[in-house]
Amino acid sequence: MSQFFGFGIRVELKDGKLIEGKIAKATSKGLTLNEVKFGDGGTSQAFKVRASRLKDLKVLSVATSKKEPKEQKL
Amino acid sequence: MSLPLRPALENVSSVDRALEDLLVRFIINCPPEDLSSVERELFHFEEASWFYTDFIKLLNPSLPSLKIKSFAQHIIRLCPLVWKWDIKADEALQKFSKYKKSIPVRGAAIFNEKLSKILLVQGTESDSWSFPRGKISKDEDDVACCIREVREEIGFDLTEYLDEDQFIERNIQGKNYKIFIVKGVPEDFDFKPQVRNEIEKIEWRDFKKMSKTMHKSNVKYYLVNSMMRPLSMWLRRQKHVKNDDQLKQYAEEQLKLLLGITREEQTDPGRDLLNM
Ligand SMILES: [Mg+2]
Repeated sequence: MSQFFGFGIRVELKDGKLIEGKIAKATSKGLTLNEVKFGDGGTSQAFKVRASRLKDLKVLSVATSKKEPKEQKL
Repeated sequence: MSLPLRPALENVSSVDRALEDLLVRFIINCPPEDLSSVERELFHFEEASWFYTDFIKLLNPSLPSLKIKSFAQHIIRLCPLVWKWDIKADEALQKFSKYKKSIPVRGAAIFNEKLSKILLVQGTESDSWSFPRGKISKDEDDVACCIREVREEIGFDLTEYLDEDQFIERNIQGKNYKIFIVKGVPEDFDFKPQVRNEIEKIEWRDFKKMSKTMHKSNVKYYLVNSMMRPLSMWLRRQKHVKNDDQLKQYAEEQLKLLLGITREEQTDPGRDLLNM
């Protein structure tokens, strides 16, 4: 589903590992993530995971074309 | 100030020695946050100048009297590094005394759940419509003041609604106004003033409509009219956030469906037995 391209998510694998990244591709078979951060602190530019390994998923951020404006003094 | 008043203070031969003492006591050993703004630093200057007058000068009558302005000038002369601001001390002191005399007023811009309406009040002595608000009482902080005044004036407790970082601040005619912005207040609440003879009317106003007709209307507003722009901006951001939240939720649902992530089922203690 390309409509979620760029969304930031965190997935929990069935083996307990936590992984964060931005969606590059999402199909019924699995996810491809960019800008990945692993639970143990490691990072990677790209990461693929099969759907069958996923236990849970949470959307952290939506895709934005520009940075969100900082909270500014009104 | 943990330094005791010792004989050292009784024999102060020069202003400069007194000032050095005061610099050490009150200024140069402050944690950085205490000196992070002109006003905060001036509070410390002021304390130091009181100490000078109340103790040092008292014990050493030959020393000159120093009012805060000359005191500050001396201190800065002695230790220029202490004054890192662009503004001149004179000017800063003028503003400072205004700032201290200004009466801090806190209030709330109260929006409904749909972010479409704002709650305004009219007083018994003036026709202007404005935010429920009031002056800070002794030892009260901004948030506490806002909550108290709003409760007094409309009978609603904002404790669970207030975010101390969401506010608009203005200085008008010597009064410092801080209006906290809150949302999600139920429209059908029965607002009633808890104080007598102060509040005449409490009413919801459609925000968009009000902003369109404000300039050509005969209705008088106070504060609200000068804060329309930041309020509009704030509303837009809220709606943006709300939309994002909805989008996140939707995306999560869709992705879970797509990837076959189902809800964890509770382990049922008897199930294993039954499954055997
Ligand atoms: Mg009041």
